[in-house]
Amino acid sequence: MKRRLQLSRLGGELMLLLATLVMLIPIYYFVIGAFKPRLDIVKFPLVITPEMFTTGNFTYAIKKMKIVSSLTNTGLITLTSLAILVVGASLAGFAIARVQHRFFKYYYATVIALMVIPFIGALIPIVVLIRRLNMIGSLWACVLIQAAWNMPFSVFLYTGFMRALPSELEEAAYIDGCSMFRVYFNIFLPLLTPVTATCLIRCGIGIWNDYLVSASLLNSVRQPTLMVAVYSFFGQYVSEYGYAFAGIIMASLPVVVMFLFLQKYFIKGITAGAVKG
Amino acid sequence: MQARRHTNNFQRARLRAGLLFVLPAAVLCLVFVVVPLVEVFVLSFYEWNGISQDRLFVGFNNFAELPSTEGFWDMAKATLLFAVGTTVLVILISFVIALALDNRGSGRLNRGLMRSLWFVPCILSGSVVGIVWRIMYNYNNGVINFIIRSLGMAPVNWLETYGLTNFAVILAAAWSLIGLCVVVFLAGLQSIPTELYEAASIDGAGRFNLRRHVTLPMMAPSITINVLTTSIASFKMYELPWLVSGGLPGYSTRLLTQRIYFFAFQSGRFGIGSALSVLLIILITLISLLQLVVLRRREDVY
Amino acid sequence: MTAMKRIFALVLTLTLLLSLAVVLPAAAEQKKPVTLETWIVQTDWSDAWDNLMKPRFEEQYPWITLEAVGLGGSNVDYIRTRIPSGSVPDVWQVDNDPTYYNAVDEGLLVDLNTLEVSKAIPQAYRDAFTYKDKLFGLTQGAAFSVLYLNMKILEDAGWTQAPANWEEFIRCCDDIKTKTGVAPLTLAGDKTTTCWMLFELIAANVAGDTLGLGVFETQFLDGTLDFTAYPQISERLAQVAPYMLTGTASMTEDDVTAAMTDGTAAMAIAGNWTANNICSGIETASGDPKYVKAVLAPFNDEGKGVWISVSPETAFGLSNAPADPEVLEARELFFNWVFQPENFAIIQNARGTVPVLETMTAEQIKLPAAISEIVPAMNAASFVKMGFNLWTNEFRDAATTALKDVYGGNREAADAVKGMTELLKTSNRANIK
Repeated sequence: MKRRLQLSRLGGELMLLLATLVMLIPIYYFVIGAFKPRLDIVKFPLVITPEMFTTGNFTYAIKKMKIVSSLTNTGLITLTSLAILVVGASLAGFAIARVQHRFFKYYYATVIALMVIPFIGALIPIVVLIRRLNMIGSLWACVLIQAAWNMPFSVFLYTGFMRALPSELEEAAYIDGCSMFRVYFNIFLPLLTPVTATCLIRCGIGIWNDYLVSASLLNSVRQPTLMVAVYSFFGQYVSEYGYAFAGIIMASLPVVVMFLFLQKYFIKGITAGAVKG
Repeated sequence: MQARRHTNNFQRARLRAGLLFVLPAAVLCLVFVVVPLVEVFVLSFYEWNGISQDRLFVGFNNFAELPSTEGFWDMAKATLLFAVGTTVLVILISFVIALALDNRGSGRLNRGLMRSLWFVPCILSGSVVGIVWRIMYNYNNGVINFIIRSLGMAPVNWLETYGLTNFAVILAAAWSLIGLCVVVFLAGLQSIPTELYEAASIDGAGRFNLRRHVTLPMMAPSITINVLTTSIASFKMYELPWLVSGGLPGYSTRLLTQRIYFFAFQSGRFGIGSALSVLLIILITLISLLQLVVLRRREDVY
Repeated sequence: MTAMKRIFALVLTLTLLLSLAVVLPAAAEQKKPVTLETWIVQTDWSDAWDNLMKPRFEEQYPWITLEAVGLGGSNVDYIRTRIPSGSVPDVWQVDNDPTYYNAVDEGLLVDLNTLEVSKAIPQAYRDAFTYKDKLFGLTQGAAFSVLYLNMKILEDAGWTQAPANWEEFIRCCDDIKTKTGVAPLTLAGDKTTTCWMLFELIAANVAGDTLGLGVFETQFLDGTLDFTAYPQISERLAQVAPYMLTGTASMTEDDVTAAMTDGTAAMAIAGNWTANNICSGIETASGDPKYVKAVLAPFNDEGKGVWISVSPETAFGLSNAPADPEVLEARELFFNWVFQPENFAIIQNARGTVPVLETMTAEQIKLPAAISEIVPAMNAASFVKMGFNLWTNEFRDAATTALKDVYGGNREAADAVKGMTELLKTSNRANIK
């Protein structure tokens, strides 16, 4: 009996391993591709030998992408819009989850409705709006657009999370005469780490990887962002896979690090929040 | 009487504070989401080339013209097929993977590592995923046909075969979405109290029955959230599938979102592009509502 | 709690940093005299721009800094978001696309007739970029369609000479396919210009002599061109489709270069603008420059003259956006400078295209040997204009989709040709304002 169990466990693990390996093929392919010359990427897609190995793609990509300034710009946009998101969405989520009033129900329904809107259709009106606000070429334009368009989903996350928290939590505090802000700040905020991690990861990835917003609102040379820089490798005439792969790897590394850093909270945030939303 | 007034005052104070709390988010969304959106609605009644200062009011003409534009119904079909296919594939695969990853104990692969690995594709931008898969699907020197050839089989024309290309596009999109769903499912699985399984095992339930009668009902909320977010994400997607297949063959993998892009950025018919946006927004909202109702009802059944 | 506080502290610090970062460059920019945004560079010569052109200009005019914007992606998409944002580049790349006509209507582009340098461009090419009496672009050169051949593969199939007419061409395709197993023909189906090129070459050679020079274009523009009136067009399209490399419909120009370099295809239909890449690809595949061959696509009947498709290459235009006098001066300076023969040679040499600048000398023009051989023949041949000078974006999209389906074996040629004729009746440039 026990033997059979172990055998089936072994079989299960093997299947999982196999599935994981298959899933990883594209990643493996472009990671090794980043270290090979173009012809070798095409001719020998799945192997890398010492003769093929080159870091030339990286040195070229670093130079072309202006990696320091594009990294700074992307970083600033992402972190600032995440800051706005975390503050705005946790406040709004708190009110929606904890104040019983029709208004917040309607407000929540509106938020959910805004989640489904495809961004692409609204791009030109957004560009026109930013121009009227005289913010073309300002990183703030990107920050505000990103914060606004990720806000509905974040409010949704925070609301779900806080609805799931027991109502006894703040009752005593209210009886003691605490203001709502104090309740939010002293009692709720400390509990929000998991859902904040979820919000940071889910929205952070989208903002970090944005091409469309920064390409339309910023000057691609004075304020390059990572994805705009990566895109410049895919021209009409020449697509240098090696450079692009190297660029993609460099652009994605910070997100991988962020994920590894936040992942233990990430799972908790989803458990308590979105699932019960 | 006194007490009631007191509660009323308290409620009013909370309402006021609550309004203040939602204000930042509300203002931000109002200015940068709702205002452009209203503009889209307004523009859907105009003819505008996106460049000129003048626009011409045409009433419902844009909406009336849409169904007769080239390939419209093919694209509508493709959009639906893509969204449904992607959602189904993502939910199935990620559920199985989450079940596998949920099994713990000695002699197993490191769970933290495996979970992180499954999440990696989600980190990449949609366009990067699209480009990489397109290169991999290439008939002559793509890595997928390379593998197929080395297994001694005939290469497959992934990007120009009706039906197969739909699958190819869905697979690429699913690849980029599975990780998120796996995390949500894992979270759901881990929140199921172990006592439930123990009780069922004592009652003599087999492995399959455990899954059927304990896991599945308990997972209903995670399934709802995953189906909802995945289908919204796949309805909104445009660059990833475009970069994989370019809409080929015919219009069989071309999505309505891509058509919006075409109208707005290539053919300079912003009015009709906006009309299509409006239609798509209505469609996605309706489908999401429908899902919410159906899935929530299922949750209640369990 | 602590983790949350840390996140907050981090986020606040970074917000402060951002506000600093926004203020700092603004302060620094005041010292910089003039910066020009040049939207002319493409990936195929961006290295030449970085290493040769930009440094040379900035050395000559130290108060002007050049910034190449909009690299990668599609031209029209780029400018269509820049125009509503009100921040358009100083130097544009323009084509005969309605987008640029709209831009001229809105007064966004300078009438280049006033510039001295425009006189060095032949009248025909100035006419090509004249809209409502305004010259809105100076072309980089003449583009024409070419058939590139890997003669090594042709020799293996028993052909020591390039085929000279349609009948030979098809026979040659058949020999290559049966005797060598290599795919006879490929093209960049993903790029609309080259996707259409094969069809326009067939149509021009079938119908050109009947229609006469220039009629193809006028009929195309007003939507009266009937491809089905010449049954040979769809017959020939159907004849050639099976000989195409599998996957052709979704290939980029870069993929074509790769296919020629890997020797997976024997011939390629492409523009002369990719000559440098394709020719060196064939050289790699065959191992000897003598096997690199380019001809005007021999789609003519035996004994008849060959028809080709031509176009002015993407042109450079000058922004008319209001700016400081120094910027206006810098724009003109740069524009005149680019079209000086010794400077234009940098672009020309990097791309291997055929320039039309009358001030350029023969020594300055570096063409791949295979191309320079056929330039005289090109100049003598009858021609139609390439599709992108004639079509609407709706037609372009639908027609290339239909053709890709034919190339991929998913649609009957006759059906596709019929569909294109129908579409052209409603979607033509005479119909749009």
